[in-house]
Amino acid sequence: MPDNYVGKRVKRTEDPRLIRGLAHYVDDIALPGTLHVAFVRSMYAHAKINSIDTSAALAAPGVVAVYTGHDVAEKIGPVPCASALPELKVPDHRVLARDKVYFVGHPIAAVVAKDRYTARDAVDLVMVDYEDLPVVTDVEQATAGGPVIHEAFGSNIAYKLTSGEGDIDAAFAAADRTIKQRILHRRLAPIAMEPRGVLARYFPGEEELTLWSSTQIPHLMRTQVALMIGMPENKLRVITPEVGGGFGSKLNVYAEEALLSWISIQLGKPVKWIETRRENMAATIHGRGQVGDIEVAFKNDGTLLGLRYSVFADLGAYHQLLTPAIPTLTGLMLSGAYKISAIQMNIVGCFTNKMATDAYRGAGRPEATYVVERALDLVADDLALMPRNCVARTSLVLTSFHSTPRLVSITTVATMKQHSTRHRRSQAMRICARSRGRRARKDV
Amino acid sequence: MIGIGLSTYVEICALGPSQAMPAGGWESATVRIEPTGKVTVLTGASPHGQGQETSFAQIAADELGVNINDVTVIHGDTGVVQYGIGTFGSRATAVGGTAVYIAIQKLKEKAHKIATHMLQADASHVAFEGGKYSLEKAAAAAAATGTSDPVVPVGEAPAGALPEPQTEGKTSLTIQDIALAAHLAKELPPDTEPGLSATYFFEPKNFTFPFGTHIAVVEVDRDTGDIEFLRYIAVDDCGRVINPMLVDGQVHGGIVQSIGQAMFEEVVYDEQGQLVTGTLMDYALPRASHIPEFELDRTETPSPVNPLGVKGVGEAGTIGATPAIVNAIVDALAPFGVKHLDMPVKPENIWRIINGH
Repeated sequence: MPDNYVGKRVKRTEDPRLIRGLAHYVDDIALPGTLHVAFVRSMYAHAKINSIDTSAALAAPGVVAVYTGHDVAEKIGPVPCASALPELKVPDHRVLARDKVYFVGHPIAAVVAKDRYTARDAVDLVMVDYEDLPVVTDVEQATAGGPVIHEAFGSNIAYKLTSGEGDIDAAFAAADRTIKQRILHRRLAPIAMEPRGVLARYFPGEEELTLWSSTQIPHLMRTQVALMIGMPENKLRVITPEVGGGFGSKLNVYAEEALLSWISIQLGKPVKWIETRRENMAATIHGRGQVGDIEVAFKNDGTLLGLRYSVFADLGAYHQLLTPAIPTLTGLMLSGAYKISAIQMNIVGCFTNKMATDAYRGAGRPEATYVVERALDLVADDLALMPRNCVARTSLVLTSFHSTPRLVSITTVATMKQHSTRHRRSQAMRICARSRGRRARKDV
Repeated sequence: MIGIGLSTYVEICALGPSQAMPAGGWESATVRIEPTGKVTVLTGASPHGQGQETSFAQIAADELGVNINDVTVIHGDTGVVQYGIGTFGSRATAVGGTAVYIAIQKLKEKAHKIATHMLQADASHVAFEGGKYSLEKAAAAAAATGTSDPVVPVGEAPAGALPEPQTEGKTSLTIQDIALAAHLAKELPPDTEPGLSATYFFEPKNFTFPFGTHIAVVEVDRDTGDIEFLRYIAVDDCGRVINPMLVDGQVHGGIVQSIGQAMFEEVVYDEQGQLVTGTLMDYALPRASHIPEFELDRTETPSPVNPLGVKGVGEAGTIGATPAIVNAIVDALAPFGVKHLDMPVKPENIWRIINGH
């Protein structure tokens, strides 16, 4: 390849428009007649909804419509989870809560008004009668007799998965020494500089919808939103204008994207929602969220025999697109750069009364590096190898430039195929078929 | 109190083979040369700050021998761009950039065929270099003098060596000339589709495996527990580098987010499930003053998984840096018998350890 440009520090052609404020983000797109959406979100982490009174909000000047979970339950399919794992529990994740709320920030109602201030003010006029339910936020409590979040599942365990390679029991049996350490990967907020934002415009004549969204995956979103609202995929156009960062938090299909699309069709007008920072903290996915126990088996000379990592993954109340799959990626990289005879990862995926976790820059893999690199320092410390950061590694082997030494659970990843997607899709299609049937009868 | 922390990683990225992905692990590209000679690249990747409008234009400009200002990279519009998967998992350049590269090779195959026809030469005598399809020297000489071409091997049709009047003396054509001719479609070879455009969907055979080592040197203030970086050194291998400035930027950003995770950030819900860190007043992000001068270096081991040799670097910083930072802080506190500290390690935690609280 000629190399006039490749390999050189070519200045970013994107920058002049970004630096001068000439770029267009979703919120910079102003369409005539646009209505604005604001959300009533749960103030409680776990509660029963006895009633929702929208009358005062509807009576407020400038308010056009208020939609609750029961208004849209039969019209919009569930928020998709594309992860498939053996015996994975997938809660029915609707775009608006119906009879219960499961986390602080859980959307309950969408208020549509002529401007965003009116919409925001009217949110305070929606009266929600909550009845407190016991809350579970700790993963160990969640799996040890704590309150059950999704009653139909009978427990808060979304899935259990053991993966690995080599004979882990033999490794520990042959060890001169072992160490054990609990480690925490706290939940992190991805905090893209631009929060999420959605603008939907329906063209009644063409029966086409254009959806502007701050996303990392425009085509996957088109497919999923089309299924959710029962629209032919080729009548839906998704545009991602300038996107102010994602870090994985916009590798998702959220309730708001489908809901605004549907509202635009109902009202025949463009509708816009721009996430506030507070919403971004509460209702955009979080990253990490693992409570893990490392166990290492090794010899007196520093040879690593076995690594076991047992983790409670804090999934949150619902699955977003890849929520259950993220912790499984940790298993792929647990060997780090080292030759370890046996590796085992045990995952317990837990429901908690929190926003979902999902992909955040690295997505399960930084956890792996942290586990193995912390473990090595602990081993070095245990053996009093000095300097602690170097000597322990001299007996270790970097085996290849083009693979990790052990692809622990490649087969697990390979099973993350269509199973779940198919299930969700058929669910979405059934709902859409029902609502279409109703519409058709009305037309007759 | 000074501590040194080390972290070595081999990561798995450029997600990924479709077998390992829930909704396709390939990426797509269309490359076309417009009638005016401008180059349009449509990528199914969806860059959102990574700078692929620049780096994909670098690939296209070099491969087509055109000025980079003549290349526009379009993404993020399902009404314009062929189906794509998107940008995540350090995949956009390794998978999406490769799709661009291969689409260009397809486009050049067609351009070569048209060039051969227009120059009335034998295909093997037309070479592409610097944005031009040119007759090789001997063939050019033959074309200029109108004599038969002595370099045509025996047994091969010498048709291309007999120039038509309108191309007399013409020994080269720019790829833009060919694009225009392809659009006007008046002198195309038989059975050739008009236009100059190619689309490719690239399915990678495997993930890529970048690797590297990060070293943090920190000083912990005995009185306040404050942590200061004395040095931060990162050596990463993300395969072939298209734009070193963009790679540096990705590593910088990743390390900054690692500093955030290691020392500041934590989403906190209380026992009632209330989100305590609901605003940026409560959720601590690292500020510019917390960030050290980064000392970056690289090795370049091309990946065998794609023809560009690219591996991806979007997440290397968050994968490599966090343990190096925590290991350094633990090392600094070794005199106090500290073997492990949980993230985020805050001055308060350290102060309590030092003061026995």
